Amino acid sequence: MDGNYVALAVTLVVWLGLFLFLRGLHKRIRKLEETSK
Amino acid sequence: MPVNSAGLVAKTIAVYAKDVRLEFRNRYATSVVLMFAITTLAMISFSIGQGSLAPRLLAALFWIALFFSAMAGLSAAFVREEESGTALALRLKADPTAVYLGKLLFNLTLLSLVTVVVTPLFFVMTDAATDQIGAFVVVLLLGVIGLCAATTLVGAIISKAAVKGALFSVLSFPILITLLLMLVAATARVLDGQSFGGILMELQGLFAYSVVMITASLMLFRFVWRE
Amino acid sequence: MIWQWVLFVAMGVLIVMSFITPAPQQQIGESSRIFYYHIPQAWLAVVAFATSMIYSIRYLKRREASLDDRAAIANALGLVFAILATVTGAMFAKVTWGTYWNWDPRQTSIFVLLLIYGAYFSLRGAVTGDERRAAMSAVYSIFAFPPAVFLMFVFPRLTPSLHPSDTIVDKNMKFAMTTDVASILFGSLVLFTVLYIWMFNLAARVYKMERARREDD
Repeated sequence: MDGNYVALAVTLVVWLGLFLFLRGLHKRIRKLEETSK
Repeated sequence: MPVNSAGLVAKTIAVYAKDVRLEFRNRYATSVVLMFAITTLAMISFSIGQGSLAPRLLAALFWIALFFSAMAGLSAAFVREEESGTALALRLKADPTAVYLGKLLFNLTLLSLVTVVVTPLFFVMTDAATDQIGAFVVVLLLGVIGLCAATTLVGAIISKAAVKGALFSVLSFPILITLLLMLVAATARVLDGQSFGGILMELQGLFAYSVVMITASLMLFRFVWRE
Repeated sequence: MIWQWVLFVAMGVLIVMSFITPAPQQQIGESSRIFYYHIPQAWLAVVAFATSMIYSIRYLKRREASLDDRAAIANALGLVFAILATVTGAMFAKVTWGTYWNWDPRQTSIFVLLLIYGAYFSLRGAVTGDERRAAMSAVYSIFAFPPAVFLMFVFPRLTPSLHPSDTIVDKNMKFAMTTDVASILFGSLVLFTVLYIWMFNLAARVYKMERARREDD
């Protein structure tokens, strides 16, 4: 059962990283789109 | 553009005849493909050495030899047009459907010729045997048609690219795996002594494959040819 | 952007659920939890492949550069998900069958999908001229579709396979999937698809800006 919690923690960290990356990208793209208009 | 069928046949034959004449003059594709096939066969036979192999292995080796031979020569039909600069003239004169069908016929002729040479050599070199000659010939025929059905359009695509030779096999292989799996399964059964009854499903699959790929090629070819 | 936070929390809940509920397949045990991630990845690899074919057809009809961009993006995302599905599948195969790779029909078909994605990008790299590259890769994308579909959906059902059947209906019968398992799997499919659409949308906007900048120069 312990292994499951380790895997759970790793998966959550991966998801947090991916989410923050995509969110940052989203913000930057929006800013660029606004300046290029 | 509407083309009446008599005109289409005549134009197809004209494209085909031109290619055959050209090929007969310099034997550009034929010699390469034949030498490639014989080299592959010799390598297979050499590495087997003495002793005989299971039908499945023999079938796989046989189609690998034919696959590589096809890869060596079947792109010539279009690459030659682009390299000699005759593609433009042909594009102005002929209808794309006629061009595609002419090239398909040419590739069929070329690969049939190779198969006629390779098959007896293969049986001699690997000591394979089958008493189901009829079934074997039908599988062979469907295999040759399938190989040409899938690779003629790919040949047209790569004639527009920068690195032609390697790209041809890279693009063809994923499309041909489906065909090769069916061909190996059918050939293995035939070498194992089964007749038409045992390979009915594979025969249907092979037939469907060729029909689908030729239909798709006919629809897509004009987009490649126009560029 | 409220939907982003909804996605963030929902995926977080899903991840927790996938690890604390009982394993979906009792005989296989804890390792069967990989289903919740492997199936959506394989599904998206196929969805991306179909997306790219549809955009390729639309490109050949309308000849708009943005449609070619989208076909290329779908293929790039499809390549990523196909690699993920292959890796998770091989890990699961090692645990349950004892080998990473044994040319099971499912492995053959995902391998072919990988080859098609690879071939597609080789072709794009080898053709010069924007319009010519777009047309050639669109034709290849469409042409590679029928044999790959046969390999993915017909071939595995004709050949004996060790792979647990992956359609939800088959699974239901085979594994007697409980409603808990079914709802986590369904939620995972939905959330992964939302993630795919988000990534697709971001990439399409980047490509559009790049194109506009190139045209300005």
